[in-house]
Amino acid sequence: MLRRLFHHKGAMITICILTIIVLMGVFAPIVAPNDPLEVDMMNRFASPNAEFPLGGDQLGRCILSRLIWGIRPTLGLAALTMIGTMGIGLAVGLASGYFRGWIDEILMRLVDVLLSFPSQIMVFAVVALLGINVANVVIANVCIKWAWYARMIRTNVIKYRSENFVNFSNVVGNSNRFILLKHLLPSIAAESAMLASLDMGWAIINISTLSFLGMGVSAPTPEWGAMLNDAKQVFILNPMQMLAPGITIMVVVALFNMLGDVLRDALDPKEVM
Amino acid sequence: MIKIENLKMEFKSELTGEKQVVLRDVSFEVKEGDCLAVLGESGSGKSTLGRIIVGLLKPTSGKYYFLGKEPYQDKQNKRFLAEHISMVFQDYNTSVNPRFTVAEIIGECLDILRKRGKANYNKKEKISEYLKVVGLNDEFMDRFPHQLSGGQLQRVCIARALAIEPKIILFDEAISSLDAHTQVQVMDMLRELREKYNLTFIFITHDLTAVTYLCTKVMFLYDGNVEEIIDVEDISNVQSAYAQKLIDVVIEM
Amino acid sequence: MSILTVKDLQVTFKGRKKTTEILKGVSFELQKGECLCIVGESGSGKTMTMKSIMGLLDTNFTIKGEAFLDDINLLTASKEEMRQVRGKKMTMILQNPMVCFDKLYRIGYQMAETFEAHTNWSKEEIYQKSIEMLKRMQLPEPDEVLKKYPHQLSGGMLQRIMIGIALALNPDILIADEPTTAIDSVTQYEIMKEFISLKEAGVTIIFITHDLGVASMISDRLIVMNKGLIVDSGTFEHIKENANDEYTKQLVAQKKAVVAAFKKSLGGRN
Repeated sequence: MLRRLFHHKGAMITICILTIIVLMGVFAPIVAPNDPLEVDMMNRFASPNAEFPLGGDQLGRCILSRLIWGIRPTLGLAALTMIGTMGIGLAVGLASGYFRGWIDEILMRLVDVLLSFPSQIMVFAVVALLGINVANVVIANVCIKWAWYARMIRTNVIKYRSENFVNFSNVVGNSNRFILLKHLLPSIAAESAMLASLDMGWAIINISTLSFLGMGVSAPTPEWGAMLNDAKQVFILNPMQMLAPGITIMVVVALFNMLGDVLRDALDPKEVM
Repeated sequence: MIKIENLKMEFKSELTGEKQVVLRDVSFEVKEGDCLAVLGESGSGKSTLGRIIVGLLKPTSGKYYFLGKEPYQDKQNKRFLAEHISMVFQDYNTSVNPRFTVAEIIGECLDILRKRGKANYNKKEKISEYLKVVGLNDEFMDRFPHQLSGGQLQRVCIARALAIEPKIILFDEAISSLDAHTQVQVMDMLRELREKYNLTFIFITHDLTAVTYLCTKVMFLYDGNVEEIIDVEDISNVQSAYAQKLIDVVIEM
Repeated sequence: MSILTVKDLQVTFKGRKKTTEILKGVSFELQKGECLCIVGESGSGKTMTMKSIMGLLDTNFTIKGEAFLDDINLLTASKEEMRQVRGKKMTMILQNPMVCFDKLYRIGYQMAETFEAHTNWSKEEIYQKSIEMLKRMQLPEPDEVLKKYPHQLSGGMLQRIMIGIALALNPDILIADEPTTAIDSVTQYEIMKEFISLKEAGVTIIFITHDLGVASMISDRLIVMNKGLIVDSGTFEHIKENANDEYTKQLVAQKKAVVAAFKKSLGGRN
């Protein structure tokens, strides 16, 4: 499967760019030209120059450095959200799709309940209930999103469950573990990976939104949404401060959406190499 | 070997709650070494019967004995059935995992045998042996299903069915979607395999010429009822009108 | 008088990595009122031959050679001309009737749609012709059938409707691409009877199959294809007794063996 991915040009390009962004986040202390937290009133609203490539913000902090440091919370939290969502979604979806019966009934009614709330309001409610905190943002997002995944994965599992290769394994008495891990999981993996990478974009936007509204990452820590919030007071005076994180969010979200698309193309088993 | 008494199968439509009777009252026996053909047109319930025999579908009522045990009674009996039965499907494209190579497809069965503590062998050698049995060579081991032709893939499916070392194999329209001349090749092969491994076959089909070519007994199934069971050699003495009709519509040359 | 002439037809497929020769020079003629059977296994190029002369191949395929229907050059004709040809002069019946109909619409609506596209009949006429056609295909209660959805009809009935639609357009040539494959033997027999009566009514038919038995029932003349080439041709009797090609010989021998086994178990009763 991986080999097929490496042969796909579009997939390679998107993956490369995303890897570079992730690496920049990991090595932020080395890559960033300045300290993102250093307040320097001399450089308030500085226009882009050699020392501050994208200029300074309302407290004279380097915008580029803040952007680079911002990769960590934004992508990190988004990834954490998706891992949590996928983990619960896969477990629930596989279990209810494969075993059906009363397990299915109970899990799906729970999913129905969760899906009947408007998602954004649920997030606010959960964050308000648990307190404003980064961890709670992730928990809130996972809480509202896993149900949707469980439903999608269940539908897919049901589709593959009645395929003859699963029937055969049942006929010859192979273990449920083998069927779930070797037959069903890989069969739904491509589609799930595609959905996950599409939703990675959603998670980034959601985390940025919450930070923008002051419910996520709190003040001095650089985060893209929070940066937008800072910039909104001064955006006529210093448009760069708003454009930089705005465009970054857009590009990264677009990249993840593209990744979703190319993953689907690249992971189709019938694609002839 | 297999004894079925007054088997009945109903499906209930979820939408309207209407009951649809697929098998009305089916009784028959399969003896060891038989090659029984189940003949009927689409909608006669022959595939449903097949699914019940291999343990995929619990019948509404009636008795099913496999070597004296009732597979739908408890888990142990079900496992006993699974250890001795195997199956080949009609649609070879969906009956193998498209992400598995040929070696992995056959390997699945060998792994099951190993888990049951039955076998101690070199897996690769064994796969190559089974490939040879169905007339393929080692080159095919690393290929994926979509890289094989229909006939080749169906041979892999047969190799897989053999690899579990069953006593009985059920073929659900296993040759119907192959080309006429591939059909004959596969049937010739099956005949040899039956003798070599001392197997019992149940052969679900709608093609009477295939039945007379391969099988020893034939059961005519129509609208969920057994119309007639007769030895292939005596097929000229069929009594029921339906069996007679099926004989009449055979296209010879 | 020959109605369709195909000369040295070559088709190659350009894949992403390699090009494959699918047809390596196929030539044949079809006389008016004749039934020509094309026999071969899957991948032998029999369906490709038909698709290429009907202009159904996309740009990944390169087609060389000549194909004339009367005086229309099928390989150089414009898209619009080909559309006309497909509806009025050649119609095709496909293998699986279950997938040829749209599950979401009633039979009558789908038939009317086809007729609207290819004729200038009025609504009333379309209805009349539909009923007439279903009667001709011996379907019981034609006005009820028109109101049904595809899943309410059996495969055999749907295939007969397909044949009926194709015939109502009154084509010069009727092309049937494995119309009985994967259909159970009773229905297969019924459909074959339908084709025989068409043949007797003088319809020109190209019949594609992989089963020599089916071919023997209907063919005036037979072409055997293997790996993109015509390896044998002639009447069925001729091919049965004196096949030139090894592949054909094998086909005939196998079919004979199967039929012999059948006759033996019947004990010569039929």
